[in-house]
Amino acid sequence: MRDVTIGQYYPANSLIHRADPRFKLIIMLLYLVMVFFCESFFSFGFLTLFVIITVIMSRVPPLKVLKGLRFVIIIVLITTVLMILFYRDANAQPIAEWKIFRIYLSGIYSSIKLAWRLLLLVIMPTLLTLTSTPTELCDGLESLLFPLKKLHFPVHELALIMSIALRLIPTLIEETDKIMNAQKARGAKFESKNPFKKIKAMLPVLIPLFVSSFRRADDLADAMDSRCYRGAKGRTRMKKMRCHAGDIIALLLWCAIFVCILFLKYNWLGWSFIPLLGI
Amino acid sequence: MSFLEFKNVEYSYPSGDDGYIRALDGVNITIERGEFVALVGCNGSGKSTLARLANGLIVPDAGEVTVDEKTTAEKSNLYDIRKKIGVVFQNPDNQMVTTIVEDDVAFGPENLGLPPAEIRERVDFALSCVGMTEYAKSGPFRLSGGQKQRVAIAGVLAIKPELLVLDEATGMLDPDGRREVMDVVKRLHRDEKRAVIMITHFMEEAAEADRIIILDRGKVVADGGRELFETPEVFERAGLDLPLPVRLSKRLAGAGLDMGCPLDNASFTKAAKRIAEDSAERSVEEKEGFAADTHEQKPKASADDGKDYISVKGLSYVYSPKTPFMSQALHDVDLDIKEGDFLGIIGSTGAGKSTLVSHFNALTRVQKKSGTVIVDGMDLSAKKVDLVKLRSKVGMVFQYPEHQLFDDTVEKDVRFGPKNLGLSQDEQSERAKDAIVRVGLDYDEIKERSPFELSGGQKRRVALAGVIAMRPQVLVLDEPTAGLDPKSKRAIMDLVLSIKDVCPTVVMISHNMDEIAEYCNRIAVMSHGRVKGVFTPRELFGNKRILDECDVRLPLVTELASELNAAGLNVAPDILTEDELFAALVKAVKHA
Repeated sequence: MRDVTIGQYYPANSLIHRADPRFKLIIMLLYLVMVFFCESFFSFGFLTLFVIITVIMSRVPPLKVLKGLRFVIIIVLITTVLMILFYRDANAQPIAEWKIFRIYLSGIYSSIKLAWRLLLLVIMPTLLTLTSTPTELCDGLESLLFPLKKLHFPVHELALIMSIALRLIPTLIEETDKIMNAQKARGAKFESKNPFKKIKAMLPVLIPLFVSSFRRADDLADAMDSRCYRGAKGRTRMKKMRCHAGDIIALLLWCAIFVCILFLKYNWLGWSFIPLLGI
Repeated sequence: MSFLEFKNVEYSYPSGDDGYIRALDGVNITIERGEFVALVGCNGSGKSTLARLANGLIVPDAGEVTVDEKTTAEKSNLYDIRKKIGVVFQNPDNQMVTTIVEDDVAFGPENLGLPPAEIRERVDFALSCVGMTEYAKSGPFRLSGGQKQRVAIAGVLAIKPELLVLDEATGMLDPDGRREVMDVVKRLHRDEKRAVIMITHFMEEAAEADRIIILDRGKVVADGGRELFETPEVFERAGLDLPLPVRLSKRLAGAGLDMGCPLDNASFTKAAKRIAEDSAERSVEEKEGFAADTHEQKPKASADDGKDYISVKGLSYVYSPKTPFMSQALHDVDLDIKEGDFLGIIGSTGAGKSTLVSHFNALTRVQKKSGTVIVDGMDLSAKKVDLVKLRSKVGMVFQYPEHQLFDDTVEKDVRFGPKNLGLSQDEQSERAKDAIVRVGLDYDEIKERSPFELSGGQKRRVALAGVIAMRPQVLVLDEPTAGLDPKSKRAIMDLVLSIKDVCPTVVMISHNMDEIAEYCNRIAVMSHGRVKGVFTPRELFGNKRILDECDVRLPLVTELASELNAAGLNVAPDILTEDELFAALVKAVKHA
């Protein structure tokens, strides 16, 4: 039996794992905005330093983090190469030329920055999913969206739906696999090139899958009713999310990093050393 | 006033074109605190309807259900009622709300609005009650069916109900899982003083209860203590089996040996010893009467001289190779299946049984340099394999095959296979008709009906027909009787035997050792991706070393036989069938 799990939680005992998921989500948001304010190589390097520190603190093997990034890395490589080849700078001389390709120094710089930015954008969310369980993230989101409850937005229901989906998607994937095998054993072919034929060929899989999904939904509803579920009303949680001093310090630290990056970009005080720090 | 009362309860549910089906018809039952009740009846007797009425998931059409004098018809009572009555359902996969065991167990107490510390306490208590503490942080995918059901029980237990209703909670489990759940339930009743209603069609489980209620077509036909087993006719009339010791003692009574009514192996052994000693005193001279040796196995399709139909050599298989999730499912497996074999494959979950058989019709392809599989001369390790030809030779019936039904009529669904083989319209219809008749269904009555409105047993037959219509030479069955009541189980196995004339070779994966012992002529034992050996049933179940090494459970009959043997009776410990055991017992007792 294969192990189908959603998400890629890597169990370990680290400060990052134990951190309050709400703070992790807020810092994540802050971080993503921050990445777009990075402009010079110096600011990229500055931010990357903290990313590396966070990865080390998480005790997730760096190779594992990179594995989570492998598809992104491929895409980034392709775009970088294309961008270097096709970049046009009207104000500069190309440093190399071959047939229709002209390579500019500025082109190399900006494509490296683009690649760097993309990697930074992906690496922290990857780390987030590696260090928090889907349930924690759901709960964190529910708690953060709490103000919306005042606007009668069904925050609790939404979080519960997400949690049930996370629970059932792997089951349904496994079931799809089983039904496909059963129909293949009865000679069914799913490899048609014609999209209409393909959809028709999938019916013997989709129909049983729908039937079983409805059955599961009914069963689950019965099980929830039987366990006294009445919606968010009067419900408490076993795992109260508690923020520790560490969470607040981390948030303040990341705010400070944000301020530094803003300084590097806008140089409000007109410090003369900042322009020297890079392109 | 009683704790739970059903007063003249009637309930019908809508069904197909016929309008309504009466599920319960004038049911009167009262349950007190602390009772341990088994509610038995065959499929369609209305017993699950009763479970859903008990905590107000459904409301009676007529009559009333009350819990501590509060009626389930009043919506505002339901919350209080459900705090007192917890229900565990049949399907272990459809009761878990979250991805982590302890969070799921916490779901109930969270709904009660308890403070976090108390929820934590209740969760820890409930998990330790069902023996799942060490799995508190794991997800559902690493758990076996029995473990999942124990988590479901813990989830209900954390609400601290006074009555626990188990609605066929063991129905989808293998024998080990059933035993795990039964042990937990018995302990809860004994140590935690919870009342239990155990809804089941396994009589061995019912025999553990203090009180038995028999339901037949929506009516209570018997309600009493264990002495009910002394009048077996009541059970038989309701279409139910009897526990093995009761069945045997009844037959022995027919042979003039009065054993009373022992409900379990221990008391049966005691009774057998007693009458053996009695008869030893009475008659010494009668000895010659029973000279004929009845210890003879019923002849099985012997396949020793058949040719190899499937031949597996050095087969290995790795899931997700070269990833962190890599796991080796098969290690260097050798296995020959001869024409006419009824081969059983046994082994614990994850032993590689399913992976092995899915190679037989190339649902799983042989990996490079990982051995060979040859089916009727076709080499499946070759680059190109004629899948249509192969799949018409090897028919595969998966667990719960009824879940693959999809078409709007039974006939069309059964034709699906023949159509994929590219046969003519006439041929398709002829094969569909033949297959439907072969599985024991009325062709004209059923062909235009939707497969989704059939009963569970009928659906499984239709699904089997869908495979038989491909006219395979080998039928591969994965737990063909899982989740059925004993009568339907036997019917399905008889059906498999009855098609041996057209499909001579059968491969069956099963956890049910009684079936394995009764039907197979050879048994392959698998463990951790390896075939530990291929044995005849008697070799396997008579060999303590192999049994222990491979962690194989004994069939019920063999278990009883070895207990009798250990008690000093002259009964061979490796007896495999009930008939054999009966004969051996008659001989042993009369000759003592």
